[in-house]
Amino acid sequence: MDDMIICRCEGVYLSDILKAIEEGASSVPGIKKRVRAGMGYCQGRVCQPVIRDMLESKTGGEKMPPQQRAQTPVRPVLLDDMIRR
Amino acid sequence: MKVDVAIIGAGPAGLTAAVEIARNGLSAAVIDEYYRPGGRLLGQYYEDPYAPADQRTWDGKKEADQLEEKARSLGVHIFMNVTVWAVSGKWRVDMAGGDLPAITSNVLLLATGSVEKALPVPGWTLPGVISVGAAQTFTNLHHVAVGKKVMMAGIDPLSLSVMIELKNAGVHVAGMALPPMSSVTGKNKTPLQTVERLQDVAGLAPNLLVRKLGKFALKRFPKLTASGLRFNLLKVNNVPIHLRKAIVKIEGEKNVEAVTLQSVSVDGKPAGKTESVEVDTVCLSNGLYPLIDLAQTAGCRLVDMPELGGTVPLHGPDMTTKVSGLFVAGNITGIEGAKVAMAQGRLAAASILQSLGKQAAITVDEAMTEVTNAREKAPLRFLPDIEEGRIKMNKIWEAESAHG
Ligand SMILES: Cc1cc2nc3c(=O)[nH]c(=O)nc-3n(C[C@H](O)[C@H](O)[C@H](O)COP(=O)(O)OP(=O)(O)OC[C@H]3O[C@@H](n4cnc5c(N)ncnc54)[C@H](O)[C@@H]3O)c2cc1C
Repeated sequence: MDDMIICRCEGVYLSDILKAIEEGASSVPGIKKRVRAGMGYCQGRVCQPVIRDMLESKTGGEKMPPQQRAQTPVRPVLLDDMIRR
Repeated sequence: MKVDVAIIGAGPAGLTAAVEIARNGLSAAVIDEYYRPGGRLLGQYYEDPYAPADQRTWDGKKEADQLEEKARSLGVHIFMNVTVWAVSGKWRVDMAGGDLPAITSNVLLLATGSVEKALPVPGWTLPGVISVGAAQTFTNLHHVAVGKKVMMAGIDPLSLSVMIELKNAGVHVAGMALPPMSSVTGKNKTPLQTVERLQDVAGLAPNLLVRKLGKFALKRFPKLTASGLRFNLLKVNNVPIHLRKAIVKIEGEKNVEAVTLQSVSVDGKPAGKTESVEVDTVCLSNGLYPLIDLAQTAGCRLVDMPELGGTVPLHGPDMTTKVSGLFVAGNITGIEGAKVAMAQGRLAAASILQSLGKQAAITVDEAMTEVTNAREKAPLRFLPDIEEGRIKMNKIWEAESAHG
């Protein structure tokens, strides 16, 4: 199969993610810690559902693979905006 | 600034709730990061065959304008181009992009809607590849043609609806194909499953689908498909719908130049030849999922519920959550159409007013009935098992409530 980018913000390829799964990653945070998928500007808004589907079909357990936790700030903000707080 | 109710999201759910709250004498602020109020309403323009005769055309922009006007005339504060990046305490809403750094409120209503699920296929990062939602917004809101010759991948209620909208706007749609049949993009997209879903859009193209197959035939479609998928190719508004071909690759040097389609068997296995179709634009559709980030940071428990479109905040049938002073409405609770979102907005407002000891013009029970009615009459059904999902959520809610 042709390789392709899955996480657009961090430029992480399908092959990187497949390798991380092979190495034992079984959750979205597990993938993220290995290859940085979901750590960029959109914080996984684009790639997380895709990675979760991949994990589910590869590991295929009863439960859906764990997702990452949304954290404050939920959008990219300027430090200036945070200081104004 | 301090208001009784802070509402995140100026879509149909948030705006309708704001109107209802202000009409009953409380103060409300609506905050949205887009430049114009209306949320996903702004891109919607289609025929609704189930509506009363004089309301058959659903013009989302007009609906949005009317809601905004009503809200403003009732004194609702509307902040546009303002992003909410944190919610905390009870309640403090941190904002970026506007003059005010934050507002405080007694009640928080999250009406953040839903977002599109990506559909990765080799070549999907080439210029000229767009999502179905982008195509809808370009066409109906900005009146910009997305391309000269468009191939759509992903055959579902939303993409079919947008295809008809593109055609009506004079854009040349070369065809629609199935998404790639791979583990990368999830399941439920085989020819068989796709055809089963077609009955959910019968309302959108009644004269086309129903006339061709008969309402009756549509109901029995799954059986027909099982016996060999007789309808390999369907035409809707003159656009070929390739029920037995999946997109496998998008090609081009600097831009989209062509797509490769692969014939597949009824259960989605590659079968037979591939072909290349020259196009300059590809429009990808893979469904929607609720945007729950703020609910999670507000301490709301999340529940995985594929029937509702993904992970949703645990909530009651009256739009309350287990976090005191926190309410939800609209697509954040599950993927449905705009009229359902509006009804949920009214319901959330009724629950909020009740929680604050205010008399509302509509009771919570009446508002719940309106949500059910809107669901039954929805012209576009995004998820096949939405009712089941709602029932499941109510059961989890009741079980949790019994524990106290
Ligand atoms: C691509 C797409 C196409 C759709 N097409 C149709 C259609 O054709 N017909 C139909 O009936 N339904 C359609 N829907 C479903 C649509 O979600 C509902 O019709 C309806 O708009 C849901 O209303 P809502 O108020 O829940 O959310 P939305 O209308 O999505 O509004 C949510 C608003 O919240 C804002 N927001 C979210 N987070 C933040 C934040 N942190 N800070 C500030 N603002 C924030 C967003 O900018 C957005 O304006 C579509 C949905 C999508 C995503």
